[in-house]
Amino acid sequence: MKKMKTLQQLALATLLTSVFFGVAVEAKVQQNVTQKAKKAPKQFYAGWYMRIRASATTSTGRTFHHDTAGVFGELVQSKYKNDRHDIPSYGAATFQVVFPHYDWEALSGDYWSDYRKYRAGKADARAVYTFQIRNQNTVDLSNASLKLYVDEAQNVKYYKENGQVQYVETDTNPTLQEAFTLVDVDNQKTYAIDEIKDVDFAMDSLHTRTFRLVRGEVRKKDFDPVVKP
Amino acid sequence: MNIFKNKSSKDFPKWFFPFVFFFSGSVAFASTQTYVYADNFDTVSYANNDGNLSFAAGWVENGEVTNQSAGKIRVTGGVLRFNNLDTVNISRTLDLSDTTITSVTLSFTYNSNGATPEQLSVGLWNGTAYDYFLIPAGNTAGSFSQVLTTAQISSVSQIQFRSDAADTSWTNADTVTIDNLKFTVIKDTTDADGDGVFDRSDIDDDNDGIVDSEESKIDLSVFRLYGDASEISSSEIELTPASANQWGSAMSYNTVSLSKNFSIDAQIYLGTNDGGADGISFVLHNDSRGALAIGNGEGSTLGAMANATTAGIENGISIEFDTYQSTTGSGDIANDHTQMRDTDIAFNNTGGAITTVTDLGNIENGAWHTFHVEWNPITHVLSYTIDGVAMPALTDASIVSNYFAGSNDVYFGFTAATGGAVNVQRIRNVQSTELKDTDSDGIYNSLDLDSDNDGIPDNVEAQTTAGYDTPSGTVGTNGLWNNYGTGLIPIDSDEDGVLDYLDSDSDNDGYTDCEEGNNAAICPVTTVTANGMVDWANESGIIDYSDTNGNVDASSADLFNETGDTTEVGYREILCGKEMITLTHYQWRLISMSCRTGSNTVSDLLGDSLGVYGTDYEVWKQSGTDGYKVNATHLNTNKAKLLATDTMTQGNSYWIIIDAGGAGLSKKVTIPKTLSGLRPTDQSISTSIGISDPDFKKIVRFSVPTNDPVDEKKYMSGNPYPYRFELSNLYFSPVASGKSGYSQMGNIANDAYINKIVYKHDSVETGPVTGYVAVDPSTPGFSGSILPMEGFFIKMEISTTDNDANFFAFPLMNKNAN
Repeated sequence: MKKMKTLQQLALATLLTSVFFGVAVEAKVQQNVTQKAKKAPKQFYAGWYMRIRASATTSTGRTFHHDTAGVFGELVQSKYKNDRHDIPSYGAATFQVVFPHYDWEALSGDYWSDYRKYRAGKADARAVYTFQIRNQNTVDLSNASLKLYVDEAQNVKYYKENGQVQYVETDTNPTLQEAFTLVDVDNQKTYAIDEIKDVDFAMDSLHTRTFRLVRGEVRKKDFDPVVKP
Repeated sequence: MNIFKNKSSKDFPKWFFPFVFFFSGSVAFASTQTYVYADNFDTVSYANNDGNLSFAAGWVENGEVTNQSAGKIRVTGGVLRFNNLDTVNISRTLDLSDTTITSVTLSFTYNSNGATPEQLSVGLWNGTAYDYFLIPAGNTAGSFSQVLTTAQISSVSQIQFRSDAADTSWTNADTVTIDNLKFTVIKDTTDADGDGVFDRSDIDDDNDGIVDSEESKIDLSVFRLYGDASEISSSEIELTPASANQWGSAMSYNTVSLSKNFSIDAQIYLGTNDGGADGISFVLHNDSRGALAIGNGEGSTLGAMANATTAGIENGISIEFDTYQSTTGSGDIANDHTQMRDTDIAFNNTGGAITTVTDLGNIENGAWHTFHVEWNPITHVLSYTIDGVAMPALTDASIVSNYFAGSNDVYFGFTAATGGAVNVQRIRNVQSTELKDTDSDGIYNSLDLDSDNDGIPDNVEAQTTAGYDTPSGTVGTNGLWNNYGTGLIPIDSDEDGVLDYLDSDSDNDGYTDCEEGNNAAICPVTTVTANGMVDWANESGIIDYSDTNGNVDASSADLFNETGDTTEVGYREILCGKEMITLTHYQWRLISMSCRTGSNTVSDLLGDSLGVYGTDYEVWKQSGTDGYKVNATHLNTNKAKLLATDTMTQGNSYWIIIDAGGAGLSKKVTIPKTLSGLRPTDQSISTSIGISDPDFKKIVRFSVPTNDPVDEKKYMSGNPYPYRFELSNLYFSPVASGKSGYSQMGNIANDAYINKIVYKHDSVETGPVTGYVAVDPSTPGFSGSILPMEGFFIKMEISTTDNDANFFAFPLMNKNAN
């Protein structure tokens, strides 16, 4: 013979469904992801990255995309200066997103990624990522419209296997990009990230357009052009 | 037609769906008969046999002398009469051991007269004891019906009438009569394959050597696990652990159609704590969340139904196995119980009941309970059993509109929940004897001699080519060929998780098994015979189950073999693949050969796909004397155009540019499989060179130029197999002095010898527009694959101390399609 459910149990159940239901569902979904994940050594938070995607459309309607680079972020294993996670760009292209680093002496040049060191507790520290849109090859895009997109931050964990650091991309963090402001260096304008999807930045008769993504306070020098030595 | 929807494209070739299958011939299938053991008591005798089956013996009294015409129990006035009964009882035996029996129902009429407490009960022997059912007392008449459980059906089945055990106060005024007693027996004597073993006892209904349980098995991958559910093993799912306030579900990704028959069997486990909670629910639903549909967090809803404030699974029916009384006055009884409920209505609302509640006693007893549910679209009956006992069914011709929002296609699955009280709640061994029709030809796999309609019989595809054993000798009493032991264990050649006999492309090379399988193949398939075989794959004139391997009598000799070698037959042999890469107009691209091409020339290999060499396409190789140095001031390398008569070297990559006929057009490249001298790319066991990677077992090695004083020397390589692989599965070995062994790309151990980044062409645009893309498995955001026939280049680092050979070890990832 069974006992009736106690009033306290009923109250708890009602509370869960009526007040905390949304939170509870999220927690359970997350738990399920963990259960189904491939068994691996203990994982630690490594940092995050975002991807800048760009597209240019000519007056004839021909559109060029670049969405395989434009990666910037922070990793525990990276440095503020050049490190092995800064991928050098290769070759000229009609249309591409690059991070110019003329400050890296022998390693001076354009990069397809720009990783800095992740420091726990310094997630809000001011940071500036300079990127340029390049139109280098035979198709002239100087009069094209220009759209920019910044994808949600991708969280990254790492684990060590045979002494080797391995990365695992876990979930996205949609709030991280809210801390950034886009600076249109050529036009001396700023934009919140959530408004850039509606903006036609235009190539403005240029073959190189310069922008900065600034976390924290935007300062006067963030509007300075990139000067190639 | 198949009742599963939304199959992956991998399951069937693209040409499959537009065609309607035509059937030729017929095979006799279902055959059921009804038999009756009956006693109408019209004759004063204990040995009446009024049905078309006879009881094993007559009625036997206990507690008084057996006498059909005298005593407290007797036959009189055309009925069996019980008067002033007290401890006297009577029983009769019948043999129900016939294995063709599918169900037995006891029925009789009764007429009770006398004081209310005096009550007759009827017992059914379960092999250990009688299961008793009370017959209503007082001055009442009616009919009684009870479906026998599996345990009650045996060679020594018995019926007994006695007084209720607690009642010994009968008087002469207390009389009960019984009449028209019947055991209605349904037998199924279907023998689809004609092997003399009825399907009910036949573990291989189509005699293909693959047992029915294998062919009917629902892989648990058909279920999406959600919430607190987790996989215990390949056949068992835990819906909730024994923790408070858990809920989980295992819900089908695909739908099942109510326009077709279906049945599902499973075992359910409700835990060991009789005071635990809350139970398991089987659900059919048309909730817009599909496989992610689940109820709310309150245990009482079993993870399926609504509660007073929050919706449950919408547009659904729950068959609940409720182990906790959460509320009173709503049909939620104290004992464990079952009933069908509308998931849209709160669990404690009487309006949610679809069928009456059945008391199950205690099912939180640590035992696995068998569950069977079936839908009949002709009779519109949704019925189910638990431990073999039929529960109240739903008959509703408007079930689709009444419960499923008008949709014939519904998801199915299991949910469970706990509250303050808990239990471990699991399901296992989910099967469908009628659901699985992989090739959608209308013949269930267990009766289909070619379950993927590729023209290669299941019996052949289930076995290795070299070890093929024809069905021969005798069929055992279990209906299985004796030479197959306990049944064939079907193989999965490409290890893609789809067994060959269900896989339309068993080697994942882009050619269907139909295209490179049976020597008599006519593809696409249009006509299937009643035994499930493609018409041209039957042995001449035989369309039943008497020749289960059709026209493939010797697996290797009767199947197509592209290379003519003895290694493997075509549908399992990894050769060059079909349509391995797509090239767009004037696109520069790096390509490689996906098989060994021997002495075949450029035009032999590429001409069929691309046209005239020098006009429609050109191929260039790395050349020159500048050491292929690549750096900021020297971005490319010298090239030399190949002649149409040149050969190509596997492991290298080449630039190619094509004229596809105009912007926006493209061409797909297939190396003709009939070219003389083509051979599969070598396959060595990866552990033999020290690579142990769970993602693959075989590799092929190609040498990489030595590290010399030329820094950033460019090396062009490419995928040597017709399968995609992740760059993190490519291994490199410098084999340098004092250093050996292979490391994955991206490993810092390689850094002194080779750059960790490979570069591929990025754009599909015309040459000068083309950019590049970097792939680097050691940098988040830059992981990526190397596609079949795709080339890449990589930069070699300077080394002043090592002139030993370097190697790439490419993984054979044949589970990956292109």
